[in-house]
Amino acid sequence: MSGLVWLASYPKSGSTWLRTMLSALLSPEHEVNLHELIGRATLDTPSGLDEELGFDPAELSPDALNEVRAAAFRRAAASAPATTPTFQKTHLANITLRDGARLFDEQSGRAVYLVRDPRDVAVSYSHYIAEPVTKVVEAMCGHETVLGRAQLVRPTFLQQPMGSWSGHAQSWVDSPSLPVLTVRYEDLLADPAGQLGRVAAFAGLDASTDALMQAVQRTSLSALRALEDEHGFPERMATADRFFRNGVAGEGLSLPDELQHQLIASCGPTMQKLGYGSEVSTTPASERQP
Amino acid sequence: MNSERTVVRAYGTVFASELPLVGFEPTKEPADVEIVFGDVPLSIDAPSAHGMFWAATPHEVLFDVPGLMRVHVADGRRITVAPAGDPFDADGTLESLLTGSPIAAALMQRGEMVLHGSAALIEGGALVVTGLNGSGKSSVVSALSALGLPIVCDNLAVVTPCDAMGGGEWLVQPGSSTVKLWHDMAVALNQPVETAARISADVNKFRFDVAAMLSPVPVRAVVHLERAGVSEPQLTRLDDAEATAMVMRDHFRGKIARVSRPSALADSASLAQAVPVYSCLRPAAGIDPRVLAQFILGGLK
Repeated sequence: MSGLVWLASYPKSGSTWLRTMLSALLSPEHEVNLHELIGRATLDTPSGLDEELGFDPAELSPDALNEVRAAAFRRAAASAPATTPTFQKTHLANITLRDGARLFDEQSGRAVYLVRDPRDVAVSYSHYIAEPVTKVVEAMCGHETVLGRAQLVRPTFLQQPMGSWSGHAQSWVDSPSLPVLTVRYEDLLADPAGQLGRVAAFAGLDASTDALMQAVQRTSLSALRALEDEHGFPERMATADRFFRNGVAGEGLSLPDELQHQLIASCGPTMQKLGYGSEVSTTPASERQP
Repeated sequence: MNSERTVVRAYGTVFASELPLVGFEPTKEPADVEIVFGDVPLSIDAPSAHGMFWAATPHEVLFDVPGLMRVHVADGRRITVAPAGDPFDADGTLESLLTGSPIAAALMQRGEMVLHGSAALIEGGALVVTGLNGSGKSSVVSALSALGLPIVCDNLAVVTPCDAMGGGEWLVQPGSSTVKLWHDMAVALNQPVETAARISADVNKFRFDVAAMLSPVPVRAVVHLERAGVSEPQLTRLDDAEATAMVMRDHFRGKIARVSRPSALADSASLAQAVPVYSCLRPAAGIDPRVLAQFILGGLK
């Protein structure tokens, strides 16, 4: 059951938190090291793919780049050890390539898909990149959205196709190409040990209830904030005060009505399918996000 | 395929190529390296280093870019290209890829030190700006070019010791008379994006002609540029040990360099002792390349 396990998510959906939990679970004797978390993205970063390819992948056309990525993912899965899971995070959507195959095909391992209410994603993402939430919502509703330099959703040099929040979720949750375990961020908040146990079992890890509980305790928000204060966190944006903010669910319900409408118009059916409802919140305007 | 050969001088070496090479100085000199279309082996024996899509021995390097091409570089004399798709390279992809790693590998096999860097002529010699992809090398030398300072090379910087000049001086060899810039940097530097050619189809990176040196230039300084979580740029001169380590790190395709050039470490130490080497941490975003270039110029001792 081991091998390559993708930790796939739209950005700001809790994948870093999940990575800290898995790091704690796999290294119970050591303090969680925010600079050495397991599941670091290697193959969808410019330097990681560059190293494996021997060429600058940023100079490939988007179609050619995605085909190279697909080949790299297959090779990574083929070379992953069989005895322990190898985790790797990704924010890529599992798009369809020119030849009809998926970016992550049946030879690319398995995936945990972490999903979060898009209204909360919008608020968290806006804080993360220090951009107006209107711009983030627009990106989350755009079918052509990429993580990359052109749209400055995040400064990186290798375009990563994400599509809309809805398209991203559908590409993974309904993926016909590889086994996917869907985990809702809200469920992870409500029952972290239980959800971590699901992930561990899916990845082929034999974890006791005690081990799960300890991993969760060591990666509480307060513990992670303390670690970030002491050691810093390399994935914090220079524009953000800190990476680990508050992690709560429901912040997005205070978004202005028009932004909630915009998200629901784009993502409503997928939101409903994933249990998020698609009604505009009635939170009083005075308590809403500016 | 193109039956005509382009013969150019690039990085101090003469290449004769069946694939057009853009921006390099034409020459009628005899070729040191031939670039031909042909059969490429599926693998090479006993590689000393490899990635998923490349493998290297001291005398051979094999690149496999899935869906695009395979390239075999042998003995610093021959680069063989097997395109997977359009051999006429209508969109420029093959040329764009070929002028990176394969040419660098051939130069390394010939014993050259190839840094991942761009250079421009400033007062007192060449400023060689090194760093990873996306660190801002091309933007900085383009900003210097906008100040009227000719560029020497972009992306690959071949540096050679110059015994004739005495005193352990080093030269940087001229590359092409073009720079490649991402769209946002090109706009920031007032480059004519509307009329510029993309480096290949659907890639938002453009090639611009610039005033360039055609002869080698003594190296005045090496500045390693790196994006970091800083709000203002920081320039620090490195001591000899730090500088040697930095130059080693700045080798283009370092794993291939270490296989192809056993003298890489010794040469790095020689360069680091002869030339001041700096580390420049720059904000990850939001800094005008002209401001950064002026900052670097002002900080050189």
